[in-house]
Amino acid sequence: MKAVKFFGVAVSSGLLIGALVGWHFGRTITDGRLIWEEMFASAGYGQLALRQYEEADSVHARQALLSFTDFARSMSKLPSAQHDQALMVDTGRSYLRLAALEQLAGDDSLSHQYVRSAQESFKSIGRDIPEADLNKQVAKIVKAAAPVPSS
Amino acid sequence: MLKKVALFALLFLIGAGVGLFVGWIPSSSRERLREGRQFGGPADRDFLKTYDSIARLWSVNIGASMRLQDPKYGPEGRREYLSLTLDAAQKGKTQVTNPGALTLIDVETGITYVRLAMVEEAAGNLPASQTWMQKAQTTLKHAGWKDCSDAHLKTLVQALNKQDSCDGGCGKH
Repeated sequence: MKAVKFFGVAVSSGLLIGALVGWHFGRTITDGRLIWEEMFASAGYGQLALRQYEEADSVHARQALLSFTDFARSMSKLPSAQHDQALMVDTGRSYLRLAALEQLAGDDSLSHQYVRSAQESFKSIGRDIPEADLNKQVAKIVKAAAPVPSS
Repeated sequence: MLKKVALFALLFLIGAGVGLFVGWIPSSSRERLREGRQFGGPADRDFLKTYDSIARLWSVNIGASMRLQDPKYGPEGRREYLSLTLDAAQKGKTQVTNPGALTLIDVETGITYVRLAMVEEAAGNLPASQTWMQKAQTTLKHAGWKDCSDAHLKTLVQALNKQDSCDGGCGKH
C-alpha cells in the first residue's frame, strides 16, 4: 500500500508539472509558428504582387494588386495578424499603386476611391494621413513608373 | 534510500513526459482552432488554402535563395533546393483557385526557371540552361511580363536572389 502511494505521488506530481509545462509551451510555440506562417504568407504574396506590378502590363499589374488587397483583407481577420502593422502598410501602398494605375488609365473616380481605401488602411494602424499627402504620393508613383498598357 | 530516490525521479520523469504530451496537444490544437475560427465558409476555405500554399512557397523560396547566395553549395545542391520550390509551386497550383494567386504562383515558377537556367549556365550546361530560360520566358510572358529578354531576367533574378536571401538573414547560418 505504501509502495502504491509512493509510485502514485511520483507519477502524478510529474504528470501535473509536465501538463502545465506542456500547456504553456504548446501555446507559445504554436503561437510563434502561426505568426511565422503569417509573415511568410503576407511577405510572399506582397512581394510577388509588387513584382507583378513592376514587371507586368497594366491588366496583370491591376489583377495582382487587387488580389493582394483582397488577400490582406482576409488575412487581417487572423488572430496571428492582429499586430502585423506591415500588412496594413503594404495594403495601403498597394491601394496607392492601384490609384496610380487608374489615374494613368484616366479613371479619376476609381483612383480617388483607391486613395480613400489607402487612407483607411493607414488609419487602421493609427496613421491618419491627409488625402492631399496621399495624392502627392500617387502623383510620384505615376511619374516614377507608368506601366505600359497591355496591347 | 538512494534506490528509492532514483525510482521516484524515474517515475516523476515518466509522469512529466506523459504530462508534457497531454498538455501540449490540446493547447496547440486550441491555438490552431482559434486561428481558423473565423473562416468557415467555402470562400474562406479557399483563402486558407491560398494562405497555406503561399506561406509554404515563400519559405521554400527564401531557403533556396539563401543557398544560391552561399558559395558552399554546388550546382547539385542548388538544383535540389530549386526543385523543392518547383514542387511547392506545383502543389500550390493544385490547391489554389483564385486566378490572381495562380498568376503569382506562375511568376514564382518562372523566376525559379530563370534561377535554374543560371545554375546550369554557371555549370557549363548550355543546352539545359537554354531550355530552362525558354520555359521561364513562356511562363512569364503568359503572366503578362513586358520584358522577357535573357539579359533583363538574369539581372532581375540576381537582384532578387540577394533580396530574398536577405529576407532570411542575408545568407547567414
